Amino acid sequence: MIDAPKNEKPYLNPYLGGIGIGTILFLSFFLVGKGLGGSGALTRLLAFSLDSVAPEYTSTLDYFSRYLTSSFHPLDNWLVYMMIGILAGGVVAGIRGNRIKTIMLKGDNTTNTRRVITAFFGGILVAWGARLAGGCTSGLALTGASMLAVAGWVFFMSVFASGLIVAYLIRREWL
Amino acid sequence: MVAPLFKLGFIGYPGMILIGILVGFAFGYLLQAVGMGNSRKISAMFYGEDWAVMRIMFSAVVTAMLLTYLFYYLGLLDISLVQLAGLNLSGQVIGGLLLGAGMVIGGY
Repeated sequence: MIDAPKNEKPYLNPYLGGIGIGTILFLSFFLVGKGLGGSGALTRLLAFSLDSVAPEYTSTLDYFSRYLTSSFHPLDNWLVYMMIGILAGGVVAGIRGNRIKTIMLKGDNTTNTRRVITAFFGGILVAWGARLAGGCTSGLALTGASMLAVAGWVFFMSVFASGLIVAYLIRREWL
Repeated sequence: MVAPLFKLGFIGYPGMILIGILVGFAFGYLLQAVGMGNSRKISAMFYGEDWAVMRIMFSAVVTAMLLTYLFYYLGLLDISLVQLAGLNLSGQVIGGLLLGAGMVIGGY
């Protein structure tokens, strides 16, 4: 078990947290008809930023231009509003749990430099994978699996299969 | 069928924005409170040392699934109007493999 670092409030019981997240997901289905998501907002922010800097180039990219040709502003979207809430909620929970500070979370046998490099390249893989699949752990695995969508379960299993294999290969970084 | 309320017109566009922010707030709050802001806790799952990620994911999926289908069978929620992730087998397999690798390398 990995406990909260010293001086922080202990973490909330995972079953309780999971039931809470599941209830929120259901409410989001019931009220709006859409699920939770994390990566969509970042894609839209990127499309918007690219378009502000280099509109001509962006319009030649199929991947981003579809967010820009709709009658809605690229940032006027369910997932973007949700991301604003996610950030605020995370900050409030962080303050309440005494977790607002600078801390390097890493394995005991690795260096800070290595941790920063792995975080950077890990982040690239996560973002690339999420956009290839059309969603991340929240949008596809959590939301899709709850709706019994094949897409969600296929993605879920691929994530864990690859995570388990790669974990063994890079065990020095965490153990 | 009365829900999804937004898609059936019971909630307007500003209401959808407000719900988006509130749903996000609760989601972000809970993720942080259960320790999903801690990369060591997330990566520890792949070494069998900490099962929090699995417990959270599966209790969330089961809760949402039960409530969704309960309201469907009660005739209150039209699940065909709930946005469903489309299947793109190669994208989701390759994307999942990349994301899983990135998750354990980067820790999030």
